[in-house]
Amino acid sequence: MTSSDVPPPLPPARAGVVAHFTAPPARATSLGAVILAMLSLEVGALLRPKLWLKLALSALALVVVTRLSVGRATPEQFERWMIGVVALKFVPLMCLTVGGGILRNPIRNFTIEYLWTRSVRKPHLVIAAWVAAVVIVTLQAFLATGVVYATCGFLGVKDLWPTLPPMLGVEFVMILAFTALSLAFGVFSGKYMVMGLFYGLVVESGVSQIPTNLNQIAVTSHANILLDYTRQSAESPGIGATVQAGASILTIAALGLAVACTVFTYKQYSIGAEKET
Amino acid sequence: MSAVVQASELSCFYGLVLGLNNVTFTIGPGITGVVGPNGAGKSTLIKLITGQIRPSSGQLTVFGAAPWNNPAILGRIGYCPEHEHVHQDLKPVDWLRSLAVLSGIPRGEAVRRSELALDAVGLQRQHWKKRIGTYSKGMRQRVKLAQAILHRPGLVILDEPMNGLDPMGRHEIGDILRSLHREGVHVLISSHILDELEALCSRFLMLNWGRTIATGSQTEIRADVPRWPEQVVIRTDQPETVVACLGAAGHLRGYFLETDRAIVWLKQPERFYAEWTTVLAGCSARVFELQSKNTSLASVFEKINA
Repeated sequence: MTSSDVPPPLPPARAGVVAHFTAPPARATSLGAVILAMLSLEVGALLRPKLWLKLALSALALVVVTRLSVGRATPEQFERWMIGVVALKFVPLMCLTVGGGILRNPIRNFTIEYLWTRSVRKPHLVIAAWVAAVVIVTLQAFLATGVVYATCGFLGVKDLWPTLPPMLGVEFVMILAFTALSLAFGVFSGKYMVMGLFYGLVVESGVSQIPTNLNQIAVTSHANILLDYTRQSAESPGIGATVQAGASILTIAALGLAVACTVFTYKQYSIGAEKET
Repeated sequence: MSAVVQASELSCFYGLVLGLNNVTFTIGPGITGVVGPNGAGKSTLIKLITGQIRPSSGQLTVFGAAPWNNPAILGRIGYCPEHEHVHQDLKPVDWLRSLAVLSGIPRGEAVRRSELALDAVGLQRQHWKKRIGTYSKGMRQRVKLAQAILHRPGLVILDEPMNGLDPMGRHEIGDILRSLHREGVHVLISSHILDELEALCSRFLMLNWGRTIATGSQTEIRADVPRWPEQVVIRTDQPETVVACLGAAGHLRGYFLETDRAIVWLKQPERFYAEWTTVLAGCSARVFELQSKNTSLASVFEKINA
């Protein structure tokens, strides 16, 4: 070894950078810890003042739209409007925006590198991202629904409030499925919005209208069964059909999540660009 | 020497785009610098080592195992990326706490560990209450370094860690990296600031066009280039006189004059280094400093590359 092999003289020793740290066990982090970390990363970002300003403006817009749409509606008319616009259009769009972007945005803006270079199994990261997206969309959807109900109550729609809990319940089940599907679109392609809208047009608005078993693949057809059941009218489906509809939605959620996990685990992403294989 | 990273006939392509082309090398313990121009394959190599992409062919092992989809190996790596993107809306302790939990550190310990890591990288406590989005480039570099060390990795990989830092900041980061080395953490640095690497690293991996062009210590790498530097800077009160003396003695191949110095290119460097004291003593000019310019890592790299 010659003198130039040796690095320059070292300055006085620091107090120690990692000397007092112990390394965690050399194994993958548990799913619970990954979910906890993802929630604090994503839901923590919800505390931005700018976001709350946006939410307030959205709520205001929603009030105006509600005022124009509902007028002096009967509870039945209002419920139909609520299902048609808020539950079956607005909520899926929120799922698409949040669920599709929850992993795709970090891939685009490079922050995913801080997450997947840790002792984390990629499927766990996907499941944690899904949980975080479900929490975010649920908060937003419930808030939006609350604003719509409050506005309608103020406008004089009668017998309104008993329909709120079942509506929220059905929305939550729909959020589970649509967020999983959106997550799968998001990990598959940066054009997840286009994919989601195409899916919405073809499957949710097209196939779901076909009166055969083919409409079983549409979340909204099952959601309609759940909503019909909550009305408790003479045409309401039986408990068996309702349970089957709920189970179908959960199955679609599980399938979407499984596809997202598989794609995310084996696809190679070129961070910050769409140069992927 | 036990290998920290070992590559054997390693190639990585992005479709038709070349990332790395059939490279074989070993990175041992200590501080190693990865050197190369843009497009040399440095980022591809770092992405492979951190398990972000998998090799197209060949083998890559980190601590004896392939890093792709291998949480046990990734847990032993700390990575500080080049880009400045961080979770803008979070405060540093909140961000680090989440990443620590993601690394398997218990939640209670994660907060303490985050604070210690921020102290270790020299981010002053008065800035901890601010969101990372409001930080300067240098402060972000420190937070990024803190997130790379908080799970006590065995290998820390830094991509352009000196970017955006003032000289004092660079010195401090260099100091931290040396301390990490002392504490048994191996360090791999990719940087364009070759002077900094030269002062920090004992070994180098030089890449260009996706291939390894040299590996080893500075001495080993220099063995591939001529021993006697051809370019010399002479700081003097009379540059013209010095150049005239050297020209008369038959040493000059070319020169460039500045107000207080002459930069000269030598015909026969070996002969010059044997005679320079005699030649310059015969000049009426006062010579303050004589410095060989092409011994730096940058010039070695240029030489090998050429």
